[in-house]
Amino acid sequence: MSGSQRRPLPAFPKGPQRSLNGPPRRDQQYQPSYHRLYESDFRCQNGSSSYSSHYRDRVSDGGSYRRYQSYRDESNYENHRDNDSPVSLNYGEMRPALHRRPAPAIRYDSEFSKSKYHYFDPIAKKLIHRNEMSSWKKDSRLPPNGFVITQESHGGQMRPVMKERHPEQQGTDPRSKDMRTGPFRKHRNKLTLVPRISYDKYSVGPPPPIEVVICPMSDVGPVQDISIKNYFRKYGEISHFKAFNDPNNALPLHVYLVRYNSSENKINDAANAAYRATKEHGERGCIILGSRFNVALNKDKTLDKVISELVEKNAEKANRLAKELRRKNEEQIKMSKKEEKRDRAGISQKKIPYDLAKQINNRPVLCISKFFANNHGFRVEDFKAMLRRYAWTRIIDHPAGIFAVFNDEESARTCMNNESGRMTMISRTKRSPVEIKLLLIPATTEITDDTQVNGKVVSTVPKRKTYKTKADLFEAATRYVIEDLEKALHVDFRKRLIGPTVFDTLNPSVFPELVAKRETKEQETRQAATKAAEEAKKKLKSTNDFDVFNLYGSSAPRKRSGFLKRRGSGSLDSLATRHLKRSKLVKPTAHLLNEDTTSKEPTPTIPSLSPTSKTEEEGNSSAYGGYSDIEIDQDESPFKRDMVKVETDATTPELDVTEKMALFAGKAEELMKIPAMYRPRVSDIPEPIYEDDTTSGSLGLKKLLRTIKDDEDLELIKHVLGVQSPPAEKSDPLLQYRVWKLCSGEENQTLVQEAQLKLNEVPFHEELISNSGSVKAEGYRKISDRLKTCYLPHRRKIHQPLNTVSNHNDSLDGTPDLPKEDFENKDPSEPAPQELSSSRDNRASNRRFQQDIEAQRAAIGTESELLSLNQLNKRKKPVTFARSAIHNWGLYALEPIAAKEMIIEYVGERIRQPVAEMREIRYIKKGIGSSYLFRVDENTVIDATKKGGIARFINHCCDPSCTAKIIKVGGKKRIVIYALRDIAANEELTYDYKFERETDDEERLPCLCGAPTCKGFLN
Amino acid sequence: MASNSDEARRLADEFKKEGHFDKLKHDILSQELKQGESSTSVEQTIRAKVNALVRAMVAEDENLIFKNRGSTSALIESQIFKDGYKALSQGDGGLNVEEYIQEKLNEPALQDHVREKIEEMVQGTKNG
Repeated sequence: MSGSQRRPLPAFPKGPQRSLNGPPRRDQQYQPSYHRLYESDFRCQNGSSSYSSHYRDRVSDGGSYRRYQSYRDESNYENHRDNDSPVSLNYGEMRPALHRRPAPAIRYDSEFSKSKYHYFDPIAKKLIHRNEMSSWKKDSRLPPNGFVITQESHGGQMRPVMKERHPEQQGTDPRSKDMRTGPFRKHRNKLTLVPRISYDKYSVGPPPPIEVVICPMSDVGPVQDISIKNYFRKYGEISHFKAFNDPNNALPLHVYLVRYNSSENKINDAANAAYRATKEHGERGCIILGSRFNVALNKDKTLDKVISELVEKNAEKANRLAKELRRKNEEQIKMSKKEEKRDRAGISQKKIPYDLAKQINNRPVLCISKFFANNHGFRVEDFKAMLRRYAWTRIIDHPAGIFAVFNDEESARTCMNNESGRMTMISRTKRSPVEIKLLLIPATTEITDDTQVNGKVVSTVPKRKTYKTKADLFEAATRYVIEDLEKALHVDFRKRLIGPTVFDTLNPSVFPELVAKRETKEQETRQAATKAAEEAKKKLKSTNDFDVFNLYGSSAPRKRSGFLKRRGSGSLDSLATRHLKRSKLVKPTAHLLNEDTTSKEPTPTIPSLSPTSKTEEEGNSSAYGGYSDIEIDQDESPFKRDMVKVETDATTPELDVTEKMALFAGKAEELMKIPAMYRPRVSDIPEPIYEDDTTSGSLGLKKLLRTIKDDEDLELIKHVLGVQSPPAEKSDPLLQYRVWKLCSGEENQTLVQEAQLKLNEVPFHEELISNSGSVKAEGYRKISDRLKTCYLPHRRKIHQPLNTVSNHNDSLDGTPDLPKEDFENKDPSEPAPQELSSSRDNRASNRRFQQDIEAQRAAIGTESELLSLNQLNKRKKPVTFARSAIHNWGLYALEPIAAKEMIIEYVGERIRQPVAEMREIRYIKKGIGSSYLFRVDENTVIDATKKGGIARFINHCCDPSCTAKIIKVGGKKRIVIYALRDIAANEELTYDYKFERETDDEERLPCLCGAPTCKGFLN
Repeated sequence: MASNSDEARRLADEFKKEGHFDKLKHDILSQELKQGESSTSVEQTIRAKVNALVRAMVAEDENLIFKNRGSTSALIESQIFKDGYKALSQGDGGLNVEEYIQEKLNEPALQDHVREKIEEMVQGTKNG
């Protein structure tokens, strides 16, 4: 504060600045920042009015306000003393009295401090350099009061212009303009809230409210108290919750009190919770379950006020309602009185239909006409729902209408009064509400009885029977007793006498002789069956020495061999069976005659006839014309054989003979002369003797020979070939050998072909026939899977019925049909023992078993894998694996399986996805080509490669018979195979693998399923 | 409800409750039938007759005893009940059950007996 801080006056040149700046700065207590501000101010404004005016301003210095006096004050002081200038005086006067500073007084007026003043002598109180100073107003051009230089635009350019000062005018703070643009505090219409002060032991006054009152803003829907409580629980722990009821009617007021919990000396927590609860909802209220509530702090008896208000309101409402109700009731009574009269009239019109009388049983009924109900599509259920509040006993749908039966007329009448003409239902046909009229049909008989006899009020209870005398009473009682006795006697006769007697006598033990007889019979049939089976086995063994199919199965090949035999020369046993069948079909001759032409039974003798008949004929009839007349006589020209292409089979000669014998007894001898073949037959159209065997393509020597059946043929062929006479003999010595060679070669080939057909049912593929004559000579080559079907028996097509499964039961089933049929015919009613336990019973018993096990497990108390049952295993169908036509091995059904039945579970190790990936690579490395990994979900795979069930053998098929489903059993996902369609026994089971499509063609696996819809690839 | 409203009904029920009804029934069923020189109870005659009938049926069709006993016996019973126990009344040793019941019930002695019992009952209740 001393002179050390004093700044030396800048050496200003003479001029206005100098004079303005002239006054000494004696008090240097202003901060340097202020100086700077002032100077900059000064410089830029260049002696503007701001300088001369004394103004207060804020200087942002640590946020405090600081007042400062302008230098004018100092100069004032100066002027006051020396110049007495009017300016300064003016200023002094203009200044408000409050702000007037005390007159300056020199404190440091000692000799010591004299040197500190540059231009003032404190003791003499004089300016030192008074004489050297001169007035700045030497120039007369300058205005007397000083001037300011302002910027003015002259022709678009800013120029400094000197202007006269007007000290009488009050200056304005130029910054105030800028101040106005700055941000302003918003307008407040309310006092700002004082921050909440937490309540503690020093607090004065009542503790803050910790309770919240919740009251309904408007009508409240069904809101449970607990939901309110739960809602307000989020603000803090609730120590007390109370819902208030209306004291008048105990109905809920939906006013709740929630008190928040506070531990010892910590009332703030609770208060805070209550405060937050109210603060959050404010004036909007809170919405709980669609109802709006006001939330308020419970202070100054808010709760009581709210409750009393609501109770009052409720009471008012109740009063109003009661009044209205009373008025309505009065009206209703009036109305009902009128209506009753009308109803009485209407009742007689409508009557309970006769067939309903029993059901309704004299009870009052409300009726809706059927016409009306049908029109709007109302049903009984609709009325049941609509009238659910009334005590109807049943609602009957009847062609005459819909009848709601009531037990007592009172309720029926109230129902009608309340609902008739008022109840609306939405019509199903018009889709708009329709008023429904109910028509009361009172308990008719009761009414008439009561009104006429007693004149009493309607009662639904049947009238009490009265008896005039005691004798009458007893008479009636005895009558009842006797009636009952009769009924009871009949029942006794039936139930106690006849029934049990019949049942007892039916006991098989009553008829021991019959039972014995039956047993012996059964034994006999059983023996016969076994014998027949043995015989059949023997036969099979003898005939099928070379039977590849016994490798895998036996039933299908048997059929096939039989077929082949029939095609061939016709072995003895096949003929025998045919005769057996024929004998069963014995009919009167007349009928046989009629049917003969239509009979499709092929002649067994014809194929074998060719070589022998020829010789016979040659022997019998040497000349062609020898029997031609007879044939012409029978209108059966052999020429017609080729022309008439009627596809009828020749009759069997045996039968022919008998027929002819019977018919033409007289001509028998004559006919017998003719060879059996050419004898006349009875038919609509002339028939060829031989079957039409026109064939295309090249014929071998033998076949050619076979087609030439008789001399006639020979003649014809000669004619065709243009050979007149037999060629000269011995033209070629090797002719006979060549013919033999040709014949034997052909024979061999046919034999091979037949064997191939017999084996595989498919002709041998040409590609497989080696050029060199022996496959062995050809060295290694790859044979495609498609070609393998030609020679590998298990590669045959699946859609053909085949049996690759060797089934032990088959041999038993394979017993000849006859005894079995007989057995079945005899006693169809006796159930087979196997059928007794159906799969359902099985499952039920399994469940019981499992419950037992579970109980035991609970008793043991330990988790043991041994006791855990595989439920899926119990439902498994009998299946087995065998070589498959599709790929390596396949799974086959041993029994017919119905669609949608569970077949088997895909069992295997349950591994994680990374493990599965690792294993897959390892398996491929090891050369396990088949994939037995089954994905359950993203991170579970079931691996049946090393450990797993036989379900892994199921092959893929594009037209599958099964499907794999992932089901949850006991919380674990498991793969179960279900049948998609009915599956026959011995059919291969397949499902769609559903592999993802592989883009790389080399990676794709070809599909060999052979289904018609096969996509060609697995992936 | 109905029995409460009708005094006679109530009495009849009481009669049954006392056990008289069952006794009556038993009496009728076990009454001796005079048939020639031998006498057997009704129950026994009917049993014998039914037994014979069933045997005859079995003789006709042996399979009856090997079929389901319950359903077969039901079928046979219905055969017997047909036309008012027609099967039972035919043949020797037969008995027309319907007629018999009617006859028994219409006996004035029985009716009197019942009435007496009822009267006794009423008296008993009044005294008690």
